Amino acid sequence: MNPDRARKVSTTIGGGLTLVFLVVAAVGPLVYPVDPNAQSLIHALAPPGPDYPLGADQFGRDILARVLHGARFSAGIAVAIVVLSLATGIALTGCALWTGGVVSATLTLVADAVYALPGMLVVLMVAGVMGGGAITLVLLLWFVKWPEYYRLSHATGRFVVSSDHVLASRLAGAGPLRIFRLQILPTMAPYLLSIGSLSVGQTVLSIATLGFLGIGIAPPQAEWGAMINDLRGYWQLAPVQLAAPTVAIVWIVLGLLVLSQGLSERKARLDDAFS
Amino acid sequence: MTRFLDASNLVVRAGGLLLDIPHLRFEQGRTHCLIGKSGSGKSLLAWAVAGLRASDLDIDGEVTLDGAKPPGPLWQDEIFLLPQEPAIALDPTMPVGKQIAEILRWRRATNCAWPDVEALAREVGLTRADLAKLPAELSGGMQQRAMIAMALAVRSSFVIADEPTKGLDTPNKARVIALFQQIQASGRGLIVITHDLGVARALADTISVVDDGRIVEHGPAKSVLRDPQSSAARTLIESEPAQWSFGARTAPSAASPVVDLSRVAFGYSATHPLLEIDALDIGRGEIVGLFGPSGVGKSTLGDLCLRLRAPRSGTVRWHGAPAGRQIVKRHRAKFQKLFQNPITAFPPNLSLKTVFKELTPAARQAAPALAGLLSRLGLRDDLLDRRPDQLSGGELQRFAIARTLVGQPDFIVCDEPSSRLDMSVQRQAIDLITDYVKDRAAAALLISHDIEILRKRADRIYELTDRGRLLSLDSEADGPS
Repeated sequence: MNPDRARKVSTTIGGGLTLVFLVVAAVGPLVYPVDPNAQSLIHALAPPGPDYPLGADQFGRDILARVLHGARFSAGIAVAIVVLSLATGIALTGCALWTGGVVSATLTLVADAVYALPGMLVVLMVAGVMGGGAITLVLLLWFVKWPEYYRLSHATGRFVVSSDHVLASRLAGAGPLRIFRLQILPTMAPYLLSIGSLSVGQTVLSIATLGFLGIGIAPPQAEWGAMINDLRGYWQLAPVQLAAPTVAIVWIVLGLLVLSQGLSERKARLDDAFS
Repeated sequence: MTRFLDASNLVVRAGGLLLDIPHLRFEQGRTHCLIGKSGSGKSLLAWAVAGLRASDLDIDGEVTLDGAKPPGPLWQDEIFLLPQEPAIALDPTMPVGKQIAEILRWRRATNCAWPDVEALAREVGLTRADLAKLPAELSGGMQQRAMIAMALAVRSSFVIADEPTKGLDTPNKARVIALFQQIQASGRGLIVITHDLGVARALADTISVVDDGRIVEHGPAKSVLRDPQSSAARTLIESEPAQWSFGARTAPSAASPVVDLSRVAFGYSATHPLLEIDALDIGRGEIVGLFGPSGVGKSTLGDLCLRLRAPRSGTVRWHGAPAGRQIVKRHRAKFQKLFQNPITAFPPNLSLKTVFKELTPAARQAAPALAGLLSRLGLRDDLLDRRPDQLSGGELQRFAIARTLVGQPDFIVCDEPSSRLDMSVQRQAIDLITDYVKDRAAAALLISHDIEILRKRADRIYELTDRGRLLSLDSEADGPS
């Protein structure tokens, strides 16, 4: 398949999967207004049927409602984390590129030091000690993720900042913020978009992992990882209930992965344009 | 037996018509030069003859060798194409010796040995040590010689060279020309595409002048160069520096210079300074020429004058005051530079309008001044809506000049303006700047590796030696004073 077509196909498929997911996360709980935390022990592990479209868990909670609320929770948190880290990385890159010298070296050193930490372990440890909650989770994952964006944007921006056209604008007296916004950011954007979309998927996976381990998310919050952990003991009795959150995770992670693939092909084309 | 390469009814389109050649014949053992200004379609013609098909081009017509069609899409061993920009054509990750060996093995003898490569390299003047280097570690001239070694390795009947001396300084250009004479002596047909008439003069038996995708003049080299019939050929010949008239001279004035450097040293290590400038001053209305081979630090000296780089020791003064942080901040807009390559001097993603509106404060403050300047430079308003890749090199050059001049600078560094574009564009750029300098009593440092340009336009000339020192060449400036 020619690369142009491959790019279009992966952007369309990935974008489609992601879009469907986001729409479901946004309006799903409104269209299907069932309380995800309402227990009904007589319906524990009820199979899929008219009352429970995807069955019920061991406490008789509606799986469909929990998957939908879990989507909202995971998507919201993952996007928040990625946007925060992206903004941090870009802002610090701006500082580093503009000041250069000691500030740049220090920022790079700090970023490398944080990057060198085993991120998941740090999150596990701190969340394990401090207890969970959505805010803690966002802050912790933001802390371990921003250096990725800093390193990426710094590495691409460094070359642009010493290019003739940036120098020409500096000579013309253009302000640093304008130069950054108009000349440097557009060259970094395709890389950041591609890595960013991949990273939302990874973050969803991280949240699910933490949920599965019972860290970071306070019950009864509907969360896919926690749901899988709850139901894995009943896999013979409730296969559909177990499959639902699993499929949801695969759906969004795969969608973002393919989308990122398409965006990075776009990036390669932009590279040509910018060389 | 002499072989003939014929191109018939060659038409290249990409949207509009780019090239239309009813018939053109090349003869083995003779050298045919295609000359013309940038963007006239010379390179397209070379590509079409060599059988290269770019995906967005629509190529029609027939190319035959002794009446026979090519064996495949390409000519294999019959035609060797030396592409423009050897730096891009060479594999950046492989030592050049290995790359030459590959060509030898594929195209001449599968069992060739390393000594064969070395012998070939000696012919083009590359040492054994050079062969072990990556392309990026070689100068532009050496990269071009490595490409020529490959052309020699292939026993093709024709060699097509696309702008083989682009961006090379005088000594390197002379070497490349000498090597092409060697290719001529080997009995191959040589097709050279160039905008440098010096190359055509040294090599050509016949010349075709290409303009707007058509051949407007064709004939023996001597008669075309001596007695051009078409206006395109006349423009080319007139824009050669040797044909330029002398510019007005300004005598050094006693008033304080616009820029002066005293005891300035620059280098990346304290013990090995790259530049040591005892004194350099440029006064009002003065154009100082800076001459020197590639890579000696001419641009760096320009950047030091502009305080884009800080000297390791010594003082740079602007209007008599040491150019410290405060002075630089206050006068930045008055000390400008015209970049070597207008294409890289504009952000590729922005329209010219955005560049002037958002990124050039002087143009924002004086919109009528900019409009006047653009119309004086012959730039229509609607061109402002385009991005750099939608403009020709000459148009972009004029926009670069507009951006440099709109703030009415006191001092301009012209760093080999447009030396990669054709001479008419170069002349235009240099003349616009020198006229401005003389009219406004500004000052300029004109950097070039072409001494002829400096003789015609500079009031004083310095040579920057390969030891990083300035040498006055004023006794050589033999213009009318």
